[in-house]
Amino acid sequence: MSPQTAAPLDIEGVTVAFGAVKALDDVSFSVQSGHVHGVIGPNGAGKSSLFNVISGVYRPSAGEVRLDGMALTKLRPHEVAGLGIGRSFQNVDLAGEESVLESLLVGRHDLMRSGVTAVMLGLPRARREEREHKARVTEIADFFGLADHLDRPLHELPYGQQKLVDVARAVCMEPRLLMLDEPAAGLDEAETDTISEIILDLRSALDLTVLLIEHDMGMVMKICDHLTVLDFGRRISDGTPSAVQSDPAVASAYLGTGEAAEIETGTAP
Amino acid sequence: MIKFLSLLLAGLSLGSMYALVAMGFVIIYKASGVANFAHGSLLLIGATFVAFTHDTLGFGPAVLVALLGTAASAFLLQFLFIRPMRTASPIPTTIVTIGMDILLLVLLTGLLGEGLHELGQPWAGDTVVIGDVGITVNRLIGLIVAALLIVGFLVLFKRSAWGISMRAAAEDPEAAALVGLRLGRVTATTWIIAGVLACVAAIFLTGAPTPGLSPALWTVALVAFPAAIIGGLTSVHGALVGGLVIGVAESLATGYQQQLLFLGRGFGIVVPFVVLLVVLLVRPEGLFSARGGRRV
Amino acid sequence: MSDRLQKWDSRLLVTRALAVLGVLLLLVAPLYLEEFWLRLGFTACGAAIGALGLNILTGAAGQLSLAHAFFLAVGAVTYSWLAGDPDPAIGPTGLGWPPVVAMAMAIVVTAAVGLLVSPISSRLSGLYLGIASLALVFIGQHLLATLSGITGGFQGRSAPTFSVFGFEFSNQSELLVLGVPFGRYERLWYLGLLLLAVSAWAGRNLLKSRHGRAFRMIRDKELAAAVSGISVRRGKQNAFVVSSALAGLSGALFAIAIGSIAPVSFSLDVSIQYLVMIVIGGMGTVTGSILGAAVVTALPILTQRYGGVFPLVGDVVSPAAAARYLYGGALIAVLMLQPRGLAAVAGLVRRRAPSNSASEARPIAGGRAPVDPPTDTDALERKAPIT
Repeated sequence: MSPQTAAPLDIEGVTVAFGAVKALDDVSFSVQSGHVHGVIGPNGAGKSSLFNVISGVYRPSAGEVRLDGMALTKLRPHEVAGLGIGRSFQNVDLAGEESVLESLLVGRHDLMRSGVTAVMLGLPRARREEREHKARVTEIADFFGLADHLDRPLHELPYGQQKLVDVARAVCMEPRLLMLDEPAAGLDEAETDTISEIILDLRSALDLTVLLIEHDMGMVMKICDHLTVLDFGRRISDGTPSAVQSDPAVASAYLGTGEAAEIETGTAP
Repeated sequence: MIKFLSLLLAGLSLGSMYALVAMGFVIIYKASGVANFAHGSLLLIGATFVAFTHDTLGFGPAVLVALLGTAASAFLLQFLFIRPMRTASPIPTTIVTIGMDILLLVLLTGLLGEGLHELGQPWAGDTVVIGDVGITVNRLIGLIVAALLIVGFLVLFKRSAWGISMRAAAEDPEAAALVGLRLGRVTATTWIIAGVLACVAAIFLTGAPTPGLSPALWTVALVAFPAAIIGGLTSVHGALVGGLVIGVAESLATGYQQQLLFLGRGFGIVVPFVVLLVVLLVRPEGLFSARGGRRV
Repeated sequence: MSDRLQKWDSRLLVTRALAVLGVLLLLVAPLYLEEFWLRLGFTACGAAIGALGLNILTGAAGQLSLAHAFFLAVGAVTYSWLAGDPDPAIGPTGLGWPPVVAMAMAIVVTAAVGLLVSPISSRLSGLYLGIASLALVFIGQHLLATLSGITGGFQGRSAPTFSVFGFEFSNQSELLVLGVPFGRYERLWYLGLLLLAVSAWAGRNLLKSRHGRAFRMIRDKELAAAVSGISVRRGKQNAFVVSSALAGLSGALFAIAIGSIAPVSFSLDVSIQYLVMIVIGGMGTVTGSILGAAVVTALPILTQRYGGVFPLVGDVVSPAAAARYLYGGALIAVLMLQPRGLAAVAGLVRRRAPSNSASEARPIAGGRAPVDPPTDTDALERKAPIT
């Protein structure tokens, strides 16, 4: 099997309803292969619901999600992950006692094959598999500048690095589509620059598609090839960052939220 | 047919007792996020109070003492052991309730000893016949009292400040705290109410046709746990339905055990658990639980 | 750095030396200890294997189960029935299989029963399993009483002596080691140690593997586990089956230790005792399982034997009650005080995960150490899947 390549994602008419409330209302857009694609919108716009639909956590009441032409909406979350979708979380909450290495190895779970009996009996092939995956994880950790911390418990790391570990864990899944949920939330400017750089480097080094939720407009404008804007569960704009920036619908959605100035100037608060 | 009807009536009565226990179990789950495995001990506490005081006080005052005593015990358990665990996750806290149960059970078994204890219900072992259907007076009064209590409880749950706060807190603890709900007080009230419900159930569960109080009452309480799960663990109405279903199923299985002998003697006791497994096989989240669109 | 490394090295050396010493002491123990202690030791080894099973399920994978007594019963009955005398003077017949095969089958059959109930167990989340698992204990009690041709009913049945290729773990044939007669309990002592060592090794391998990591992730964050490619149901099922298999072996050893089995030995109380073992010992760890099993097994036996030394025990509280007070209290104390020494308790007793709304405003913990810039980009490239 040859290395996998970046995959395009299509979202068609996705609707998610919780009782009478529609978290997503007939949302459609396409993410081109190899793009860094941003999803923005005010709080409660449905961004996280969208991620949950793509990952298979929510089953949409209507609509379809396709990765490289393959329908995802009937699959369970781990099956979606197995097709090559890695996802990092907004809240860093990996198991605290686990070491960084173990947290990253969790991302390899589906790529490893050893069965329960094989690992319990310590069979040579199970040991070899563990070794090989540790080596690859170490490479990825090195790329994230985490190589020196592999044996430390995760909770000992500063917040910024914990967030990096979470992104790295998603990268350890060797995804074709990497979904990042507010990777810069809670980071300072220097850290935000670093993570931006990492995302761009990852995209070119690993040939990935990146789908990104982020509130930091400076970062979004800088690294995204394409933007989709959600508001109250609807898609209100879709296009290049500059096109979206000048879309009056976007400005009015952000109006009064205090983020209006941001989107126009494209600067971080 | 007459046999069936009398078994059904007995089952409904038994089920209403299970419902009282299960509803207490469910509100504790909603308020404290734990499965209270010490619930069986709460029943034992209630019945023990009556058994030890009715000789000197008379039955009525003894019941009053028992209600207060069980409520106070439930409050103390919550205050001493559960409240300090509120930042922990549910499983360790639930294991703490198992620890409480170990301590209470060994204490109460020591107090009660081997024999049976009378609770001194004035109606003793009397039976009445309604139409052609017979039932012990104890079970009949139990059914009526439970029905009144359940209606009262449901009204309280829907209308009272406690009920509203409690439901709000179960929905979203943080929001509830933000708007200034005193969660500590709501939780304490919940345990007290659960204690009262357990005490009432215990008084009727130890009366006729049961010969009296022994530590075996603890096991009877365990049978009510499946009622809570069948209903969906988070639903008070579910606990009510679950209790009745299990009471009737147990009563019928015990009554028709001659016809069910191929399943083994004493199958009636196992019936609630068989019902539980069947329900969970079909609906892992219980009958009345509203779980969002999440699937993992 | 090298200083720290050295310190760590010497600590490792001390640990190793202590471990070797401990093993040596255990190996020569039968030369010096009387039967009472050897018997206790064997029972504790059997219990430790069962506790390890429960600890993998409850401690590592976070699935609270009170059904352990049921699985112990399945193992004990399978062994006793398969290896039992086909033509006994009294009691139910057995199949007369070689005890080693019967013991292996006890593991296999119990694992299979675990697999059989996993369509229910692995779909339950949170505390549902804890309550639903009560069902297995009660149904198990009913089956033990009802299937008397196999189980012996209420009276139970005798459990055959263990033997391997004609070598009996009994007092039948005479065996002298360094002048000490090696009877039933001297021999069983080594059997217990060997089986525990193998189980502990396998358990540690499991907990260190991809499956162990998956268990802990399912315990700590089910949703994140699923999104990371872990099948939550499959993970729970694996934990359940491994837990059952170890319970099966433990049950067989219990039958061998006592020499007979009866329904009372597999009541809900036994499930609770196993839960106490893993909590006191330490959740999710192999060492914790062994320590906890040793304490909980020894407590009632020791209070029985030495209870008279303490005031109250004997007159006010029975020795058995004293043991229950002790371990009930210990259970609560360990969970409420979370002593740092019991490593994995901390894993379960973590602060509740903040929900979305709270964490958005959460201040950054641990300061804002700048993130190291990525190193050489070329170092990372997409690779063919490791096969």
